Amino acid sequence: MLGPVSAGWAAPFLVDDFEGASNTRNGRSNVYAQEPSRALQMRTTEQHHGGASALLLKYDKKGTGGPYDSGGWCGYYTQVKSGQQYFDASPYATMTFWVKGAKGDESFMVGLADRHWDEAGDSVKSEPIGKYLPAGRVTTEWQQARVPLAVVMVDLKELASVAICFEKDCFPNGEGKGTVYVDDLAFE
Amino acid sequence: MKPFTMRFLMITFALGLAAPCATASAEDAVAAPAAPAPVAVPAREQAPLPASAIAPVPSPAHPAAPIVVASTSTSDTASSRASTSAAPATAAPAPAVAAAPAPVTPAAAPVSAAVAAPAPVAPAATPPPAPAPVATTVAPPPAPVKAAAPKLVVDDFEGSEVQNRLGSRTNVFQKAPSKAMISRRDDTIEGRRTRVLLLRYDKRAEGGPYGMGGWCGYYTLLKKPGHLVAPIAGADNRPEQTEEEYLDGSAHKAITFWVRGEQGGESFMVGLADRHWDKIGDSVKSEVIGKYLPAGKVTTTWQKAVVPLDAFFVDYAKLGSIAISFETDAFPEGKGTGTIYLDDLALE
Repeated sequence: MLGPVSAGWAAPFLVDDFEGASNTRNGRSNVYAQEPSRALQMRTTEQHHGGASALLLKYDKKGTGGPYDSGGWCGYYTQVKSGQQYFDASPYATMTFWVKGAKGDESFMVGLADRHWDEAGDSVKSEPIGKYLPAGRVTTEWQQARVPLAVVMVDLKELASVAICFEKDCFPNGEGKGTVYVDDLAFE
Repeated sequence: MKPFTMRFLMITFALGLAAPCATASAEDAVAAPAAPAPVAVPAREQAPLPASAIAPVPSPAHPAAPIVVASTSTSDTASSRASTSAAPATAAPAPAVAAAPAPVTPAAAPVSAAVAAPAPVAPAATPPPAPAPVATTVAPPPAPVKAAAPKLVVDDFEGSEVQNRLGSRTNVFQKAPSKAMISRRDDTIEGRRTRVLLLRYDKRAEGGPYGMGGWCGYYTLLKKPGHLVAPIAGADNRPEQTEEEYLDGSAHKAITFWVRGEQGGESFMVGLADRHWDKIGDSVKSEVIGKYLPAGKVTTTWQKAVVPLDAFFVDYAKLGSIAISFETDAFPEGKGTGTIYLDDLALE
């Protein structure tokens, strides 16, 4: 039960364990992509952290072509708003999830969108995920990512969505492709 | 001394001239108005529109024509807002927002959506009294009377979060490690319930470009984006982009808005960009906001800021944007954090 507590004092809130058809907020989840970049999401039972399945994300972020010749963009989002009812994440201090890569050294950023950014069609990004992993990078072993919510300045009282974003700044040449597995996305 | 380049970059972000940076990254140059990057919005399916693609489209809640109220009225009433925001977006984009009324003939101003155009000033059309037969001199004709500019509401923060009342884009700009965010809150100003802008900032003094802590702020465009013109059959098969339309603010005297702070003592500067500074990607800054407030500083109670346009040496006939800038010089130690609330941003 969430009470009127300050950040970090609420019981963890599981957004998605990727076992069912939708997240716990009944919000939509999907990939987004602008050509020539593309992404694919699947549930996989071959890799998972607890439970029986996890999210598989395959990405191909291009460096050129598309709008502004920046290669387009791609990623995955899950909505934490229900209709126009935004999610109050202010009682939480951290977003957590488990992640591993198919080969290691895959990269992405976490995006958070509040009502404003939701309407703008964009999100505020974290730093590359390695900063929030114990090993300092994605490896082929499961690691828990812990992303402080304070790193993105959004209105946590009105959170709309969480995103996994394969940004050009994640990759040395502005482009990269690979597969990552994600499980147990939560707020703590 | 601030490097010019930094200024250039700063407003490049502020005005959306930057090359499309990927997104609003907390670490990189964020918030870019032109940021094409994504976030998942259900209605947009897999490929969310970049902000730059969204902004130019007049929202149904925002008729393209600006809201204009009589300059003598400081009460931007709820009823006028309701009526204007309910107006359907029928029309093609309004001509130029520009359109300050011509002297003496306000009714002729091309602002068709004017809610309350000021009454025409008794003009030269009124003939002077006939001279007495014995008069040896003839009274000169009265000098042209310049009509007071109607108040132009740039944003009352009641509608879209990404478009102001002119139908133009609005957002934060930021360069890491500084950052800013905006939201909306319900509040009361002089007994009037209203929706206001919440603007939170964290201006750093170290890190980022030149070790100056980056920058952050909020902008709202006064200019209209150019629009694509469909190609003529048989001609080059590429649509043409028309010129951006800058706002003619030459009939106005001041930028006004209501402001209060969460704690009191918050600080910022107002930026104004004309076509030149817009192209460069920067703006001209006012002095620290306290100078334009009755209390001499931001307090926890609402005050009306009146920033004379004279504070900015720019071309008032071609205005591009207004900014709220959390500048290094606004803070004793070059850094500061806080939350301010704004409402009823206007040109008077």
